[in-house]
Amino acid sequence: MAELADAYGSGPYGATRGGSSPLVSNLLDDQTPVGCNVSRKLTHMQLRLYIHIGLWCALFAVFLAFAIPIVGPALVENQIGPAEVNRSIDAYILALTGIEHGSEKLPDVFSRLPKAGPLIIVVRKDDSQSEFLGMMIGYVSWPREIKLIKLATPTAEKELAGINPDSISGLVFCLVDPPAWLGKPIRLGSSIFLVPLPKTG
Amino acid sequence: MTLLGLSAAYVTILFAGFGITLLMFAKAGRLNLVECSCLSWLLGIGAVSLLVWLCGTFCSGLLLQAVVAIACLALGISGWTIKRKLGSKFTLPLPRNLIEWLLTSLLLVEITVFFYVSFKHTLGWDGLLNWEIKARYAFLNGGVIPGSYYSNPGRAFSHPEYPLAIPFTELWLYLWMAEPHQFWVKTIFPLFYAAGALLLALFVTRLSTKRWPGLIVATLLAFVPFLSASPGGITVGYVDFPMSVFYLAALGYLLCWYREDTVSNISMFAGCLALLPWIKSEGLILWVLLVFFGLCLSLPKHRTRQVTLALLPGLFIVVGWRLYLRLMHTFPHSDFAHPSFSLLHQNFGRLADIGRVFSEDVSTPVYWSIFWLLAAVAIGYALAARKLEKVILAMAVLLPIVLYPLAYVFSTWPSYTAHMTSSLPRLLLHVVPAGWLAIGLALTQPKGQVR
Repeated sequence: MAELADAYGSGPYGATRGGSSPLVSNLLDDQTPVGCNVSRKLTHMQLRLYIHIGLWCALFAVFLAFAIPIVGPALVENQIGPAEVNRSIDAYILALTGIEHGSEKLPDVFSRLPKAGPLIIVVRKDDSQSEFLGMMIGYVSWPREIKLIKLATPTAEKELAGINPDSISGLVFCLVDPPAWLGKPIRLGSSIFLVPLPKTG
Repeated sequence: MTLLGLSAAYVTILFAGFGITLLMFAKAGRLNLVECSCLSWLLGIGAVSLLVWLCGTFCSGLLLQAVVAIACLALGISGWTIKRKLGSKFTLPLPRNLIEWLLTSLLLVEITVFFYVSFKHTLGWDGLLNWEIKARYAFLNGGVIPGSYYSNPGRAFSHPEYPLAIPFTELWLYLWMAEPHQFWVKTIFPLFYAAGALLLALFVTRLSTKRWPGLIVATLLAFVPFLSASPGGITVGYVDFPMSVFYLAALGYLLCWYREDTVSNISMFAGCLALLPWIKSEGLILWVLLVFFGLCLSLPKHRTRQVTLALLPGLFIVVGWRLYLRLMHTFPHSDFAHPSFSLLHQNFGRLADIGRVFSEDVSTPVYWSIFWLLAAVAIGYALAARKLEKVILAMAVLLPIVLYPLAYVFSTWPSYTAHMTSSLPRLLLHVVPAGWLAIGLALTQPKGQVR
């Protein structure tokens, strides 16, 4: 900045160009504040640039400092595979019911039910595991028509009372105990029961 | 045989997409090979899913597969022929210095890691029960979703009204593998990451005329925890990240078009815009916003006609899909009530809770680290620039973030805060790559302002 002021104000540059002529001298004197403005602007620009670089470096550093401890472990958890056709659905059914290869076994069981009428899937309302298992049963029971019943009360008496047993093909209870009056249920897995031919109590 | 089928499915998708890309870019002269590859994937899945859906209305099984495959080949051949006729040349932008080499290498490592990680995880809840379920049922029925699926209230949990871009891409893989292989189908999602990260780098480079900010933000994209380490991220088969890539692509080409008024830019904007509502229902909100932004940018250029034409393909898809759902007697979805002023008035009191849950969500480091703070600073930079395209970019990040939480005023869940907690982070994900675009452009801004 000082160099710019020197070049236009006094010293060799000014002397060479204008000597001691008052006109030139005045002109050169007028240039001094412009030079100062330029230098001030440059300083201001540099300062802004440093703040800008510092700000983004700090933001990125904090971003990475929070992110890496979360992302890193998530990337290394679990192992690859198995590369099986029903990899996802089988994993969920196994975790929820203990049934291996559930995507094949469950449809096989459902295929023995009467063709007519929907399969009733009973789940517990506001119990995410029960609801999720119910949806899984809905997934694997295709192309059979299904009907999901969400129980708000501990017993299924009220909700099931209105069902006509002749109009359905069976009942599946997901993390819900079937009422005794339905008869003896078939346990399909650790938390899933099938009542093939419901009878009124 | 499975891997051979998988390869054939990918070849047909990419061939169709490559053809469409070349048709749109034919007049450009120089064709960026990285850009063309990314767009081949995005437009390829759009073309294949639309073709499977449309052709599935009059044929099924092997015939459907053959018809769509021939259409893909025809698109590829047409694109290549036009490209040769116009003498366009491919270029591969290589890194020019050590930093660019380092950042590019890191980006490629990240893409590889996402492929690796996606093999370790199963499909997530929504990935399986909202999206893959449609592909599986269609596969079991010769490539066509049976009408009974749409109208069965028992399967309303799987949202039959959701559009079919991703399910039918999965279906295309299933048809070629000849089995609904849930392990290999996950390979489509890291490809979206690859396309998104590379396009992000490309847009920042193109709009800032510097390559390093583009490479930096593309590399940092993977570090957003919700993307790579959460149940709604890239590796679990959800469509929210693919949607964010389409949003980024449409926004990026719109901004490029504002800077450089070319047919290829506006055509690509139209293509990516059209596919937004075909990826997920919420894409309609982003579609409306982008149309609005497009019209804003077209006014000073006196190019409203171009933007109006660009919104037509999307309009056809939206109307066509709605009509189809009506014809199929689709069971109405129940997560949101039909918006009305009376309901708005009735649920107005929810706004305080919505604001609280929203602020809690965006400040959760386990989901976002401090990404939203970075985005807020970048929005500040963009607004301070007082240039129309920068203001539009800021709005493109800001408006969806404001509109998405407001939608919960119409939530029909017994607990709308639970509804928000379960789905808002995934909706916010739609804006993340666009947010990185704003950040990337903010990195180079002070010099531009002084100049």
